[in-house]
Order: sequence, then C-alpha cells, then structure tokens
Amino acid sequence: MTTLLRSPESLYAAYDRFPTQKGASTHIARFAPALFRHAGGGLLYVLGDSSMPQRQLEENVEIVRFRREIPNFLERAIAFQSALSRIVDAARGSLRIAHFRDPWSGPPLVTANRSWAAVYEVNALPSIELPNAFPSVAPRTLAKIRAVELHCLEACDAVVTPSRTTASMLERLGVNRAKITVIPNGADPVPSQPRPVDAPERYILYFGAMQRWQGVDTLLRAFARLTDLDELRLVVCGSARSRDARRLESLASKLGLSDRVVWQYELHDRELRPWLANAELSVAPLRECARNVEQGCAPLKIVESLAAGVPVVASNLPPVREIVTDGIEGRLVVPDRPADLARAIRVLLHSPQRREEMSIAARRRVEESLTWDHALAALTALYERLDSLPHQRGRIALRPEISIEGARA
Amino acid sequence: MMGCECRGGFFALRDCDQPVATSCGTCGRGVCSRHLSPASGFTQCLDCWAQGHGDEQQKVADDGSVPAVDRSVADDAAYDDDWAYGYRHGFYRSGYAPIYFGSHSSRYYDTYDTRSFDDDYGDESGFSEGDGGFGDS
Repeated sequence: MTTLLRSPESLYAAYDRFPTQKGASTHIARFAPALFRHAGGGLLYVLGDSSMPQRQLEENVEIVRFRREIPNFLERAIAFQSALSRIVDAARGSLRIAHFRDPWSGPPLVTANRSWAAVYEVNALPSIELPNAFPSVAPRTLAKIRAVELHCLEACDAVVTPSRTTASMLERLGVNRAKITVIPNGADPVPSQPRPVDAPERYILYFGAMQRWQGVDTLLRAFARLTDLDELRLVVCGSARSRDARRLESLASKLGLSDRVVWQYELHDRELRPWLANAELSVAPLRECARNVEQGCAPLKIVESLAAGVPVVASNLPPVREIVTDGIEGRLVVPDRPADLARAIRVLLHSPQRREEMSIAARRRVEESLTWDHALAALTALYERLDSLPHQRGRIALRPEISIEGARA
Repeated sequence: MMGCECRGGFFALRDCDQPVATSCGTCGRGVCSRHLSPASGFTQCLDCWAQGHGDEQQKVADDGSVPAVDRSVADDAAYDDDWAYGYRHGFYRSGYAPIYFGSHSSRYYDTYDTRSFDDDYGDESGFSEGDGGFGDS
C-alpha cells in the first residue's frame, strides 16, 4: 500500500511533466491550485524527472511525481496509471473530488464504486494525437486507447474543455452536451516590459512548442518572403530544444535565414514576457490538420499575446476564431500558405496605426473574458455544482449508438 | 486494485497479479508478499534485488556463457527466491530473451500494442523530453 504524507481531500492527475515551460504546465499550475483551494487541500500527481523531488509537501498540498524512466511511451503510461491506482487506494477514505487530464490517469479515478466526483479535462485525445508522434501505431491499439477515452468520458461526472471545437468533437463521440463545460484558456494582462538587451531593433515573434501541427515551417517560408525588410528579424522562443526544433533550424538555414532568425529555448515566463511585449506581432501559424480542425485546440500563445497587447497573425481555423476576430485583435489567414501569411505580416508591419488599434482591442478582449480569473471562476463554479451531487455517483451514458465495446474490435 | 507487477517463470514469463502488499522501494512497482526480497529486508522486489546482487549469484563469462553454479543439497532444501531471481537475472544477461505475452503491468494492452511505441519519441510530437505531453498550446 502506498503511504501518503496526508489524507488528500482532492486529487489532480496529469500525465505531464511538471513544472516545465510548456502550455500544459501553465494550465496545471492554474487549475490544480483552484481545485486544492476549493477542496481545502489535495494531492497533485504528475510526471517528473530525476532533477525534481519525488515527494513534496507544501502546506495542505502533497505533490507526488512519477519519475521512473521507461523508454516505451505506452509502457510508461501504464506504469504511471498503476502507481496512481495505489495512490487512489490510499486516498480512498478522504477523497471528495478528482480532476484528471488524460486516459492514462482516468481509469483509477472513475471506478464505479467511488465516493468522489470525477472531472475529465480534455485538452486533446491521445487516440487522435498519438499517430503524429508514432506513425506506426496500429489501428487496433488506437481503438483500445479510444475505448478507454470513451469509458472515462462516460464514467466521469463532468467534462471540461478549453475550446468549443473540442466540445463539438466530444459531442460527436457521444458525450452528453449537458456534461461538458467549456472553459477557455486564460492569461493575465501583461504590463509594459523593458526591451530585452539583446533584442533586434524590430522583430516578429513565435513562441511555444514546435510540433509539426504548429506550422512553424510555414512561418519560416513566409519569413523568407520578407527578406527585403532589412531590419526585420524573426524571434522563435521554443518551449524545448527538441528534434523538431533542430529540424526547423535546419530548414531556416536552407532558406538562407540563418542570420535573420533568433532562436531561444526554454525561457522562463519572466524572461519570455519582455520578448513578447516588445514584438511587433505574434504569429500562430497552425496547420490545417485533423488535430487542429476536428479535435480542436486552445493555443495559449494566442491568449498570452493578446494579454500583452500584441496583435496576432494566426491561421483561420475554428478554435482560433473562438479567440481572435479577424481585423479586430489581429489577422486570420488561410492556413499552410506562406505567401498569404507573409502578405498579412507585411501589411500590418506597414501600418503602426492599425497595430495600435489591435493592441488596444487585444487587451480589452482578454480583460473582458479571457483572464485566468474568468477561467478559475468557471472551474470553481463547476466544482461547487459537483459538491451538491449525491455521493453515489451516477453515470450520464454515452448516446446509445456509441459502443465502447465496438471500439475495442 | 492492481495486482503484483512482478513476473514469474524462467524461459516464458507470466504476470503474477497477486494482491499488492507494498511498493518496491527501488522501482516503485506494486509487489505481493511473495515477490518481496527477504534479503533486502522486504524493502525491494526480487527483480530489483537481483539487479543489485544477482551478479554475485551468477557470473557471466567473458564469452557470454553461463557456467554451472555449485549448489549444495542443503541450499536446495529451502527454496531461495533471492537466489533464484539472481540466477535468472544473470541468465538473461547471457543474451536469452524470455517469452512474454503480457505488457508491463496491464492485461488490457499487450506487446503488440506497446511495440509500436518502441521508437524514440519526440521527433514530430508534443511528447518530447520525457513529457507525457498533451499540450494545450
């Protein structure tokens, strides 16, 4: 039996390394404390590495990190879940509410005989995203993962998602709409920042992760069309120096942009903010792919840019339109078209007046509805509604035509 | 509740799945009372103890062969799990890969599922740098 340092009233589980400079980590850093505040304490169970403590106790919150290095992704996820099962066994007597982010954390938390409420936060579904990372993953394996996702969606008490696009996808999967709460990602308004000492005189910015679906290659190709703007530089602040990042550095070199692109990695939030606040524009060139269009996403980089009063040039995709209105807070362009992206950037760079108007509108957009305070108020209201449910949890079933067993075939 | 995550057998492995008594102090897996190592003071599973001490039980020669180990009749009189797992660990180091049809600790996913994840990840994904990595960015 796993021994815990305290009896947790709540549990937040995420198959994500925490803390890091990635968007998922930002999300956890906001949502988990809201859960613990609501419940009067809790336990955070996340991934870690050898540089992070396995156990931490901070007042009424215990942090447990799964640190075993297992090279195989699925084996590691299974072992992570197995360790979570033992934590749940130990916490069974005190747990009132659990919140999880993935199908690796979900099964031990949605058991039928539980006495706690379970919230499934769906930012993405591995059954959709994994083939991007592992192209050879078998359809049979994806069907098994999908079946676990459907089981978690059915057996949980509430589903939280940051995007209406993702909510629609979940409805198509059979999830009862009444069970879904859309809570957009937030950002806190960023006051003016001193210019970084090594910042180019004039630059546009990309920041965030570098997976192919982010479309950074499209941005590099667009930037290659702007080389007549002598003083302009592209600053790329990557969340990690992954192989994707090295691939993009190589592409920039092939495009003859080596001396025009500034690469930065793993900047802490306080280091990134000055780069963001002093950029002419922020670019979110998301690709038009199933991951972005059908599943949906909620790019924190866009919300954070708006919070800093930086106009955004982004791909015109359904989840982006939930955040940005074309011509108001920025420009939306046809995805995957470097020429269109370059043209939109060029036009905005030549119009300081327009950028200023967009900057004001961007800040207003965040202050009115996209701060973390807005998000956390909605989340806390959901927890309060769940508190009023009876302890014996009832399921809201998937629509009858959706068969979990069928997904296992 | 999950079962014991250790595997029994020698040439072909099977999942133990007996009720978990505690967690191994080294690998963190759930372990039943039978798979706890007496020699470690019941703080490690037999596999972890074997990895730390198995070489003392079973030497692998430079050519990879496994020499016979002299065990007295008295040794055999009481079955010694620590010795047996140490011997198994040493035997596997000689190059033998046991047959195993299960997954790490799951009856749901099997080796067919897990092997497509053997490739090093992080290349085209949000799964890099050891992250679980479902980004919301």
